[in-house]
Amino acid sequence: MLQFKNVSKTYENTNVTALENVNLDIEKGEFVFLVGHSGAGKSTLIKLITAEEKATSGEIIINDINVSKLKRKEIPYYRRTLGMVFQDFRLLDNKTVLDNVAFAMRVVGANKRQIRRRAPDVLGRVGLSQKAHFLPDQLSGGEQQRVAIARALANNPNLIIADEPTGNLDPDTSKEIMEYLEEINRSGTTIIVATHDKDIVNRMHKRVIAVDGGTIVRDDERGGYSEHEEL
Amino acid sequence: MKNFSYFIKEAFSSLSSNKTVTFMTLITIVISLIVTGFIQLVSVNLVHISNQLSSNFEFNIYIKDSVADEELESVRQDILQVAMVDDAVLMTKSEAFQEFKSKMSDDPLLKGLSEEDNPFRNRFMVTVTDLNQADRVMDEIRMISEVDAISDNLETSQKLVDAREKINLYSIIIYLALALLCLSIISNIINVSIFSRRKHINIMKYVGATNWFVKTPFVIEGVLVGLFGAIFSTVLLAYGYHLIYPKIYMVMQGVFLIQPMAIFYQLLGINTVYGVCIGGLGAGFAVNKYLKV
Ligand SMILES: Nc1ncnc2c1ncn2[C@@H]1O[C@H](COP(=O)(O)OP(=O)(O)OP(=O)(O)O)[C@@H](O)[C@H]1O
Ligand SMILES: [Mg+2]
Repeated sequence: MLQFKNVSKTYENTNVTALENVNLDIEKGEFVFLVGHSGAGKSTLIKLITAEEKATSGEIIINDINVSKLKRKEIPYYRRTLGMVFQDFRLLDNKTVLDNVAFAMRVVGANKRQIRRRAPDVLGRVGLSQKAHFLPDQLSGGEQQRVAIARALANNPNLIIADEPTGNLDPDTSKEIMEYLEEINRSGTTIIVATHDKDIVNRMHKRVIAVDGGTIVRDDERGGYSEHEEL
Repeated sequence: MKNFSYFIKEAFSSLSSNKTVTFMTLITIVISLIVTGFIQLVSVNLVHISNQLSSNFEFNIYIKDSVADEELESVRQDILQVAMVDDAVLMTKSEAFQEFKSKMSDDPLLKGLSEEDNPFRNRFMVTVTDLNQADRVMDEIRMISEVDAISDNLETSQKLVDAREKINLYSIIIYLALALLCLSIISNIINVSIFSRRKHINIMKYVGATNWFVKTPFVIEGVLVGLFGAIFSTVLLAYGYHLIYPKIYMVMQGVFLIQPMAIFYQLLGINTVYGVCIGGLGAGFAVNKYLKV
């Protein structure tokens, strides 16, 4: 479902080559960790997937869409097929938990009835039904991240991409977040998680792709965090 | 339009939550509309006045205030004596004042005006048999000791037409320059309010909102401010115009400006188009910067 073919990315403004000749194949339903030192190119790889950055060369094909060739106008429609989760949650703090999820649906043109049916449902999947009417700053970090996951689920994407989703959370909460993601993965959604969190990667025994200096240095089917990549 | 109520709600909530920005945008639009509206009023009135003048008697001969009413008829005879004078019709100061008062009868400002405040002078409206000789005729009339001043309506009319052509040329330039200036000021002001909502815009873009969807509430907001600005500035202009309207008549000795009500809707229409375009475009340009995610 996701393919990188000889993808390179050089940031024009700094002339930094963040990714070089990356080849990658991810199948539908996989759970993939993306690991590597700070500055290795993990976020760049993710931004290429989300079409936030454009590859300098090579081809990126996701869900049969040639992402590297997308026109600006087509990007919004492509993004609706993805769910994104960030380290800093990125919730609208003037909207309630439920409205944050509803907002993501409204933005892509869902009607009131669809929203009323689906928004509480996805909140239930991250265990937040009780706090639907709380504002984000009335929630713990872990709960906020769960809202972000619910929002990512709102439009029923088949791929969820998370850039350091546990970067701001303590180990127990991190573990809990990963359990929710794993649960979502079990229902068939492909998940890609960029992370520094050694414990999580080692414990979960998922596919691990290690990036270093802009290239993929390791790709283990049931890997852990290697000693060399210690951060 | 299932999104319509959402857009309107967003626009209004942001109007009220960014009061400073809304206010500054409004002020900018009002000021520039007052300037352009003023130019418009002047231009339209120049045409109006020059039409009036050219259809009036050709020359106004003003008589000195010291001349008593009983002497006026002999002055008239003196004028008619001058070669090539066709006719001379007397308009006394009280007739002029009565005419003025009747035309302005609905103006509350003039209710208290009495004969003692009469700003008009006695005058003869003179036509000549040969316009080419008019200069010589007037020179001769000027020699009559009771004559105070002469105004040549045709010449004034021609001057006004010339002035209007110049004003129209410059007003296009001024309109455009003001529009651009206004647009850049407004998009910078609105930029401030959008900056505080860039996280909001970012999130919308991440979940797959089209640029159109992100932009529309901001544009509606700009259009609403433009509309308020247009109404507000038109009312201000119309009120000011209403105040100076009778004064101009007095100063110009019998020349009327266009009636305030006759020009109100034209002014409102043009201001609305201008305000709405500037407000909407200014907001649109301002958001564009934040849509690159
Ligand atoms: N917008 C940008 N403009 C220019 N250079 C950038 C930009 N974003 C990233 N880079 C550069 O690209 C390289 C890879 O950065 P990237 O953010 O992908 O690393 P990362 O693996 O996500 O690091 P971290 O673990 O610290 O998040 C770095 O050298 C960085 O300086
Ligand atoms: Mg990163």
